Amino acid sequence: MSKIDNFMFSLGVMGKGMLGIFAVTLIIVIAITLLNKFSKNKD
Amino acid sequence: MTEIFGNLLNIEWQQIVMWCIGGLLIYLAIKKDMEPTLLLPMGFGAILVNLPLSGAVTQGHEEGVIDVLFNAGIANELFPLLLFIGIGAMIDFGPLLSNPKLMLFGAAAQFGIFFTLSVATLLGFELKDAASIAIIGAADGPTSIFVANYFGSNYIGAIIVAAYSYMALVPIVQPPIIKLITTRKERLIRMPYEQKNVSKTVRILFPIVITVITGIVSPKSVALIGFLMFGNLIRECGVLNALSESAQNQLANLVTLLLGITVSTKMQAAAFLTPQTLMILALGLVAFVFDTVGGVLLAKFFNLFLKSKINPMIGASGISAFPMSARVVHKMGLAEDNQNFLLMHSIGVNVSGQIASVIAGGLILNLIAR
Repeated sequence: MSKIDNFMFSLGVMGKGMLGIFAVTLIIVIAITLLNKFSKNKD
Repeated sequence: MTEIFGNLLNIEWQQIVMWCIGGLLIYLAIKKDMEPTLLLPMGFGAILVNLPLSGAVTQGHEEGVIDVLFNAGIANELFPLLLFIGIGAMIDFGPLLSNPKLMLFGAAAQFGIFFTLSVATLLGFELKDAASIAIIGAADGPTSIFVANYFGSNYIGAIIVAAYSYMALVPIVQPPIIKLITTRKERLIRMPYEQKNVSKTVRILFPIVITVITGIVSPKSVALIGFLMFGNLIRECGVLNALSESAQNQLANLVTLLLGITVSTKMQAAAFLTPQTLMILALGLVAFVFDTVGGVLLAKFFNLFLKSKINPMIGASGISAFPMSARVVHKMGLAEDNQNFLLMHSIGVNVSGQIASVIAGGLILNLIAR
């Protein structure tokens, strides 16, 4: 692949990567929040 | 006499330069206390592998011990993973668990990785090398080693030197960037800390849940996140204290000892003394700068909607350099207002950066084919 092809591909990776990391993080945040809530209710 | 001193004639100037670089790393480790556990073995290793006809590295058909160690522990990604067990056992995720929203800053502070990937491709690096260089922005040595080795990058030596050097330089790199993109009014924002108890059940379930969620989304990161979380589970379960102690001390120390000197096999003059090494050092700085920018800007963005404002400096702690980055933000808060204690918030963001950097590494592995 040429330099420009690589660059364009990397922009795609940037978009997908940041989207992916926020999606995973958001799921984790929700999971921890639910765990905390469930655990408190149980206590 | 030729048999004894003949090897002197085999010395090349590039090797002498590498001895000086090795000496510099040892100096920085001892005198400046810069990541001494890694930079000292690497510095000595750089001298060891650059002696003419060094028996420590493979010469022709004769295998050198450092190459044997490399193949046994780094080429198969074993050492960084074992080190992750120790790191997982060291980390208390309590501040994050009591305020899970902080994790979003950890995610934002991985922006430098993806930004640097693009810059590196523009500078002409192949994708696999660009990805390996970009992961310096994870500010996490084992992840850098794992990813660079996974892609078989030729620049692994320079990447590791850059990763550990910038981690040690966080107190110098981050403050000017934070000051540049925040106003004094923002830096003065106080964030009261409420102590919240996190139940033991949550602490035990946390590493399992993280491993499952991350593993499903990014299967190639399972080894990385799994070993980190395994270490943390040993710490939190409460019935394996002896193993937890061993992981934090003996295991982490032993692997670190071997890791530093083994990596030095990639610091042989012919591979290390190239213009690309200088570019990698510059790109590493770019990665750290844009990590910082990403975290701070997300906090500023949140402040547009929040009644109770966040001090945007804590976003900068989202890089994985633990605990240096949290301390930097805490000190900067105190410098502006000696009653502004940001440590618990910045620690929470900082540990979230540990997880986010591993997730980012996993995503890079998934998104870029080997």
